[in-house]
Amino acid sequence: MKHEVLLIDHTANRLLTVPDSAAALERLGHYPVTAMDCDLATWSLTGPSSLPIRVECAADELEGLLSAGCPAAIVRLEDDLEAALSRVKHLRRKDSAIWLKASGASSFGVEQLRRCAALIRAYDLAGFIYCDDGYTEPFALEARIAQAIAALGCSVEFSPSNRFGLATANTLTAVRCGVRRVHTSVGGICCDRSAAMEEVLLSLSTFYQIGGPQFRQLSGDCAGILAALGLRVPGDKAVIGTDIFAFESGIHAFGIRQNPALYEVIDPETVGLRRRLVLGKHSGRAAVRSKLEDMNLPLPDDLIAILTEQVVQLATRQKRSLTEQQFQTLAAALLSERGDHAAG
Amino acid sequence: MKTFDFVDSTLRDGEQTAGVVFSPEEQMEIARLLDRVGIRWIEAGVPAMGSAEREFLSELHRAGLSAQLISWNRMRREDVDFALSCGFRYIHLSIPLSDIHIQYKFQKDRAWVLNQIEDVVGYAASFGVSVFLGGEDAARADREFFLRAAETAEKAGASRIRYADTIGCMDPFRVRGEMEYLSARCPLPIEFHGHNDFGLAAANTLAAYKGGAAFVSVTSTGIGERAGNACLEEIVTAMECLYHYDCELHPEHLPALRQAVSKAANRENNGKHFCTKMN
Repeated sequence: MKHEVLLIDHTANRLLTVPDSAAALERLGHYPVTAMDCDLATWSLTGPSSLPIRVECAADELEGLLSAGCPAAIVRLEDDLEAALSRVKHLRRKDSAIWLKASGASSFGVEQLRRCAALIRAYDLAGFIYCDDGYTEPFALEARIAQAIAALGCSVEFSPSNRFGLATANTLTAVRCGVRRVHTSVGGICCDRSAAMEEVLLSLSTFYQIGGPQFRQLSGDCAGILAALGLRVPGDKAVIGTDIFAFESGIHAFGIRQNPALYEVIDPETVGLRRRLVLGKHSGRAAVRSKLEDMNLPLPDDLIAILTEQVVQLATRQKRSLTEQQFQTLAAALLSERGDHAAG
Repeated sequence: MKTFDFVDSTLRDGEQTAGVVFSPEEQMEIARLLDRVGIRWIEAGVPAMGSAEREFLSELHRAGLSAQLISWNRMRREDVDFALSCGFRYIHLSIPLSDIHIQYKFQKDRAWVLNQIEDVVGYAASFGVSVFLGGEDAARADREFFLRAAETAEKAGASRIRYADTIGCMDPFRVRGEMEYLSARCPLPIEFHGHNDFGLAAANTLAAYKGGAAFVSVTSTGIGERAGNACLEEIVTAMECLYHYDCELHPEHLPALRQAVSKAANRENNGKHFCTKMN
């Protein structure tokens, strides 16, 4: 299964409508993005772009779109599609391409798929975009995708909905079945038509050795792209959240110290993040001691016991973990108290 | 008794999340809301954590909830004593099953783990309570050793075993395969406990059900260590919509639960996924 997987991006559809998105678009270019899918309204606003843009339209909009010089169109499967396709035959340039987008493809029967295949052959369409509505889980999807690939005999793209949080898993399933073009958006923000790019990239690399294995700019790139849209990455967002390598509970903090592989599935640096020991309600003496070592503040064991108690109390009272500053203040107070006693 | 059910760990794995602190009042409110939703198994907390935690856990037993309360404990006799002192009738005893954990955390071997299970599970069972074995890092353990641990625990009096994907390293196809293999051979019903490190917690949890797991762990809003756990709200809806499985819950109370957990965790718009967080 070691083939390249290419991404069709949906983030750009939003990026292209905001000012100063050039840097964000450049970040997208760090990943195997082969096209950016946009709607008509976005396309009409944009100039030339470094990544190829494909424009989605309804059957009756196709003629106008091609007349305006759009080189890559996506047309939705509708009743009047064949008529529209025959109308635009004379407008098509040699280098232009049209993809067929099928919503609800997971419920298509073989007959319906064959009709699509006939349409694709008759009008020399570039490929089939298989859109799942989110009501399919990986095991049901496996059979459906295999059936579609066999019946269509053309390039198949997979575009999932994340209705039940299954978009990434379903994308992996499509790739296992041989699909090489999958629809993604940064952070999964276009959740009705794509999986989270960062989850797909890291999963493909980790589980199937496709792409990667290093994505050292991934968290920074995703945060930068989303910031251009005025969005902040939630701390616990899989793969790119800044809190996903934060440890606090005594048992985990102790284990991480022994060997990070005990609790980390990847090295944080793989995605450009850092491990962080947080001190809070669940911290034990081992965690406090290692934090002190990190800060170069050695304390005797009896003071570590007192400090641990103070950390837990403060965290409980303020209902959040301690800042570095708060921890340092507590430790310094204990030390100077001890110093005063020693001096007196 | 249902043949498949949820174990909610919002008050244990959820509360254990770095930076999250629930006050006793919030813990109680969340427990009551879980009960109202109809959750039958609540993993309520860790008695060994301290006296404040034990005070809450004892009070929880006097709150008159319909749900069964499970305590999370390390595989230690003193942890069992703490759990009993709070009034627990369901005692989860956790011990790593993977060689990497056994070696680095304990500098011990598999035989030692089996001995611990025999001793501590037997000790807990002697008090007439229900004992569950927690198989930490089972995802990286030798599956034959998982079965050995289950057999040992069953002989010592345990009635359930948890298969934890502690570091979130599984994909749904492996989860289903493992659950099919193990549930056909395991003397105890298996609970699958997944994490969301690759955004696969929901799919893995559904895969566990498909593969024959008798229980799955979930948390409200998917709150949990690192990228979180399987999201209760999402799994319940998916089970009903995709598998037409009647969860026998009261989903109309889920929004109130979700709100209470988000507020207690200091996470606005908390939801499992980025897009639900932002929309």
